[in-house]
Amino acid sequence: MAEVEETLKRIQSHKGVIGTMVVNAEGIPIRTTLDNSTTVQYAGLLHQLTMKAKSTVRDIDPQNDLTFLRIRSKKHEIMVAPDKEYLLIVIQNPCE
Amino acid sequence: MATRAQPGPLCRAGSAGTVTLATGGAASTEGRGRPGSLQDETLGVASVPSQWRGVRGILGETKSCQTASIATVEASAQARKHADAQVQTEAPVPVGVLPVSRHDTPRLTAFLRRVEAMVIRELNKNWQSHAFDSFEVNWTEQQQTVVWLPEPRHSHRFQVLSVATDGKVLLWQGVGAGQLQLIEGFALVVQQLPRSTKLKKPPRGETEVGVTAVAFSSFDPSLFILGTEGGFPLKCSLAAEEAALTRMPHSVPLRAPAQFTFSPHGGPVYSVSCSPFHRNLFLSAGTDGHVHLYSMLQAQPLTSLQLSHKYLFAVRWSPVRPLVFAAASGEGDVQLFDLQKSPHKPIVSIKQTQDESPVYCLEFNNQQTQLLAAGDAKGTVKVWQLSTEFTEQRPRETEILDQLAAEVAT
Repeated sequence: MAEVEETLKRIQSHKGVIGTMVVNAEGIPIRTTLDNSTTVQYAGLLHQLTMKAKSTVRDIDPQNDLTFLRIRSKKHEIMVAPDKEYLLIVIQNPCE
Repeated sequence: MATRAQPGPLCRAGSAGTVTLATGGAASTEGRGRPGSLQDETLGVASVPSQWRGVRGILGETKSCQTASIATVEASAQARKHADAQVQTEAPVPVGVLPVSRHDTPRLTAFLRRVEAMVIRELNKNWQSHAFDSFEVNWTEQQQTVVWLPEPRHSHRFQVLSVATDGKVLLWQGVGAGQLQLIEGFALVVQQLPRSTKLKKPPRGETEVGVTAVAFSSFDPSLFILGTEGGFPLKCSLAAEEAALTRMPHSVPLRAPAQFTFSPHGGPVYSVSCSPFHRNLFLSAGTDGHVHLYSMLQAQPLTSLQLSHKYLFAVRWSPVRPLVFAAASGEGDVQLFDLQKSPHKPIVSIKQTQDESPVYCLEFNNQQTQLLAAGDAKGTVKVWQLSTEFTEQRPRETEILDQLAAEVAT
């Protein structure tokens, strides 16, 4: 239990990191450093997008798979580390 | 009540009576001096138990009931109908953060252990990266092309037709000074295109067709050709009646103008041009570097010429020579073609830009027919003067054009 929290704390302490969350396979957040409503919104939308990205990669080449997803926006960079059971979502402010 | 005078056996009563007189009744009976045969006798109190209750109880005892048992049947039942006008419950709680059950924790730990290094590497990389510095994205849909149209019945007034990559073809009319009013609209949806060529089966729903070029027929004012991002030219009509499949509300009802789909280029079409001398011929050019000569009557092009290894950005028929057209290439050339003299190679290729930056547009001058203007990526427009070879129509030229158009596969 403590290891989970410590890992998230380590990630959260990186420069520019705004929020970190872990989402399960159904898109339901199970750990977050953000407030509830923001977390629910990010989790639902990014879960859908990640699934779409994954199926896109697989459709192009069935032997290939999605390993990481980076989304650059005007304000943030959103990083998604996907896995069979969980997604780790990190939102970073890229401006120094 | 218990005292009564009665004659009784003398001897026994006499002795008992004497005792009684001597003790209890001396004060009241002594003065009367009655004879001894009749004596007052006082007996002890005797009590008789009342049988009233008991007797009545015995009499009222029920031995049996003579009435038959009453049969009851429910003839009908009336159900109560009710509806809840309002129910007060707790406000719905949004999906919150789910606590991990204990047996999930090892898997979660393992997952985080797997991805942590990668995420941290990306976080560091991203923090140091300047890849996106000063990059400004522009998401607004650009109006690709506009053309002027003479307004029906008022040849001195004009309308503007705009086409864009969002699949909309809009007809505008000038109202007052510098004001345009939208009067008609068309929308191109993949699912509504005529299926004359083997296009990839579109997904369900509606997918707009990005329009990149437009050219009106010189013979039918309602007929126009569109170039699309998908590479297939479309024959369209302003007189189309069918409503377009669009879910979004629009200020004018949108119609589906497409009547015929031609077989596609290898990439988006950037330019189309209808022949000013033949009602069925038009040219298209695009990112595949090819110019296609199409007849309106068949999907397959009559001729396909590769003029560039890069893109072709513009193609135009000469307004005076039925067999001459010009094309602008991504290598910076303006190429002039004469289908009579050399059907496969340009007869003149003008270098418009020295550094091979692309030529984006070109136009013949309809009034001063010896002039050809071309604009390039440097932002310059160069006006070229054409020799008489390109300005004077030759004998039999329209005949050859008719023959070309008649080569429609049967």
